[in-house]
Amino acid sequence: MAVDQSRSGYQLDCGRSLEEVWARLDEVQAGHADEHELGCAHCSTARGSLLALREATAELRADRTEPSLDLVDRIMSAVRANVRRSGAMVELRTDEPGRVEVSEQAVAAVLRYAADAFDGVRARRCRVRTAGRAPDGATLIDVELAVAVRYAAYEPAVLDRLRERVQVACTSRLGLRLNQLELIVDDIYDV
Amino acid sequence: MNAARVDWVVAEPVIASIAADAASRTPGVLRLQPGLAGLVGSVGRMARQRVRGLSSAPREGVTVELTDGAADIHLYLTLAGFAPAQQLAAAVQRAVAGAVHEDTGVVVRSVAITIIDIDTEDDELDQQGVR
Repeated sequence: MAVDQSRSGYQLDCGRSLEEVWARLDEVQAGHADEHELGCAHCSTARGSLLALREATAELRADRTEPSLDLVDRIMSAVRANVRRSGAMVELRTDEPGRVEVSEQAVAAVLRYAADAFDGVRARRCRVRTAGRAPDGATLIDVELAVAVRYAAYEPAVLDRLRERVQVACTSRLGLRLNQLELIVDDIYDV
Repeated sequence: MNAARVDWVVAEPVIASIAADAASRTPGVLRLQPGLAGLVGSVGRMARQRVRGLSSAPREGVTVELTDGAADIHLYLTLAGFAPAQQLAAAVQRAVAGAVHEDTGVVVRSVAITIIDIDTEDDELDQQGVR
């Protein structure tokens, strides 16, 4: 059974990566969009941002007096940041003056990572939602985590240990408190 | 001869640059993270300054509002995956408030932090056995 283990790049909600959108900018501009690109709002929004930035930075890219080898990376990074800024945020408790928040997508990335580190488990989707405050002020979150489990490793005890792993990651890596974890085993592999 | 009275004012970009420097020196902060508007502004500024032969300190990913002589600072950050996000954010808040006040005399009313991203592909995770 195939399991998608690709983790490179930044994936839009439609499943395409930002890097793919970037690579096909000229093709789409030339009228060679595929069916997905013609109708997808996520790709269209990302493409608009990338085009605006490419135009804005054209002058700098053309200038050879200063190397701008990292310009594409900076553009991609800025677009990813915009996508994340536009999403929901989870507040982190702080005793200092000023609010601290982390994007739900960053929280999900850390929790997916913690699950992936578990032998026999591959993390897939992860959704995070704020669920209130603990008495000590820590933010409570609800997490829905979908995983694929290696067939030979599939037993309830593995899922219990995975639950502990996610809980520890919430507290030690993020400073958040896990209110509810819904673990979804939506595939097995190495059957 | 009486010394002339000198009034000096610190502009918001100066505070932003000091805040950016203090934040990026905090271990665990990978980079300040400008959005689209910030990057376009920064690229435009670089182009103008190159024409004039200037090079000012970076301040992408920082906004500053000065009201009634006090500063409200907001930083957008990407953190390294090995760093505990909550403690690191508090450390950045302290570092930025301290540096801005020490270097400019401006009172810092608040330092807000938005963690845009946490880099889980950082090598130090391997070294710490987290992966």
